[in-house]
Amino acid sequence: METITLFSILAAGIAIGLGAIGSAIGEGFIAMKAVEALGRQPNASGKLIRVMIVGQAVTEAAAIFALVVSLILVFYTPEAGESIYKGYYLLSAGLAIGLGTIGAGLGGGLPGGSCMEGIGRQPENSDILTIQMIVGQAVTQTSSIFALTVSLILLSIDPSNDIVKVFAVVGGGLAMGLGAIGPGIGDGLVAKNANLAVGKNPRQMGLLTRTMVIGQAITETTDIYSLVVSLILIFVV
Amino acid sequence: MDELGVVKLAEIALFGNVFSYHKSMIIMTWIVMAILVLMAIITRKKINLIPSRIQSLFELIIEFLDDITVSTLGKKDGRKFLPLICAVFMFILLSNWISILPNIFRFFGAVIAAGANMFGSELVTFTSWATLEVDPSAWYSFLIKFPNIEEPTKFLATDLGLSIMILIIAHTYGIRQNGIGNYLKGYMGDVWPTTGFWKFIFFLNPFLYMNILGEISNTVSHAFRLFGNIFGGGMIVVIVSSLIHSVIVPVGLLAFFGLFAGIVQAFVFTMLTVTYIAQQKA
Amino acid sequence: MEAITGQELIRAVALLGAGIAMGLGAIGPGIGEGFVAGKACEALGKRPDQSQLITRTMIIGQAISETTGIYSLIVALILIFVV
Repeated sequence: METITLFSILAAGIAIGLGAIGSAIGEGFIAMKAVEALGRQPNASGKLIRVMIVGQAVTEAAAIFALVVSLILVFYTPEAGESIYKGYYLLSAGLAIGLGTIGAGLGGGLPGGSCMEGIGRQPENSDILTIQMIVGQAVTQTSSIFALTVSLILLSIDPSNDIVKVFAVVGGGLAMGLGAIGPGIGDGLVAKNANLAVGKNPRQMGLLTRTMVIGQAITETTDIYSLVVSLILIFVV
Repeated sequence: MDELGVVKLAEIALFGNVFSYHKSMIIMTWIVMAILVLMAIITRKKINLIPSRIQSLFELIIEFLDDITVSTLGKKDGRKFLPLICAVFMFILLSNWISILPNIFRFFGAVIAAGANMFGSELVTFTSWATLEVDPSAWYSFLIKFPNIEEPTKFLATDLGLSIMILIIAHTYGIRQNGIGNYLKGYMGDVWPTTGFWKFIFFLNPFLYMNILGEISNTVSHAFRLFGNIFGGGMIVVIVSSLIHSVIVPVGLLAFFGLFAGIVQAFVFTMLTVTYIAQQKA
Repeated sequence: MEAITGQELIRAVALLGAGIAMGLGAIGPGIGEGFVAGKACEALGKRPDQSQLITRTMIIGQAISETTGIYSLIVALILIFVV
């Protein structure tokens, strides 16, 4: 009993400690670009601050996912006679969401920053740039949604009494967590450059959004491999 | 969190084999299809030069997809594939959106049960202040047991079915377009020669296996992308609802994961379908 | 916790290794493919008339960047099902 609680508290710390890194840097990046743009266009301050808050709110989503899992872990009460191996499942859930949200947080910040840059250059484009930014950020959150899915599955399933299975579950958590870092940042890079291009050439927005979404979808492929391997390790092995 | 772990399977015995299927998935898929067909029939009946509201909605979707397919596949083939692309897009979009409908049957059932409990009915027991259990002999128990309104795309079977269908369509198109010889040559890569002696040891070509694996992983990732996003989104709504004991329906979360992520993922799936078909053209 | 024997230990570590292999292996291709698509968007902004060529090159470039990700997947699947 006490061992499971110990693991759940440790996992809660890992989840929110690692999970806050990405979003914090991402939001800071958006604010930095907003301040830079304000220096260039002080008249557009209302627009800039409004869009900045929207962008930061979407970037925050990754950290909120980590917070939700962390809260579940903090208040986790083990049932009487629950297998001690449940502790490893909880630890794995914490690792998956903690590592998995780093990429999405960082990635969400990149399009926000380039959107600020675009508005700073031409404030009249702010509407289409905001739409473009939100679409880009929403697709970027995919990697953190996958990490959250795996993490919640790990929290809710009953532990097995086989020690080999425990290794597999920890491996599954690490696969999803680490695997979500790269595609998250990659998606952010795509959205960032697409936003910059829309800022320069707003008339081509339809074409650019389309290409951005395809590019991001293909970038996420390795994330999906991680999800598949992780689900195999959790359910099949 | 019971909603996550429990899988309700129904089984049918056929030709000595037992097939199991997910009841809710089948029901919801049929509901989505019925809505689409009904909307199509209604629109078809009063089609007009001055479009009505529903007609202009469909015109908007079709024009948007027509632009994409024609610019990617060319005018002739693009128009040929347009009905497929439109059907895929609208089916996935409606599938992703259907879960935002509230389950009114269960709501009225709960209201009746709460009222009955207030008047001293023995059939209703409150397990906590927001969850109740109804004895199956009560006449309103069927309302409580009404299946959840769930997205058909939340189940891997629907997504894999769609992506395998698209795999078959794209490759059939590729074989028709290039002929079987050129189609198979495409798998050999540019480095390995395809003449003379080299033809007979084609199975030693490492690119062959890489290309085949690439095609398989395309299909798998096509399905899992939709599944992971919709399943994950649904999970988040359930978890947050259960954390706050379903006091307030998380409207913002439903708007983001139900409506917005739903349309983005439907668009991603459709765009990748067009891309996979176009890749077979060259 | 009961003791773990040699053969089981190999199987257990192989499974853990499969997870780490796929996890770490996905980082590089993810960022790399992001670069490709990002620069493709930048190029499209400058030359929208060449959209066909740019999109096709982007997809091919991403498919090749993804090769190492597929290697990781193969290694992970071998570690799970063969070892």
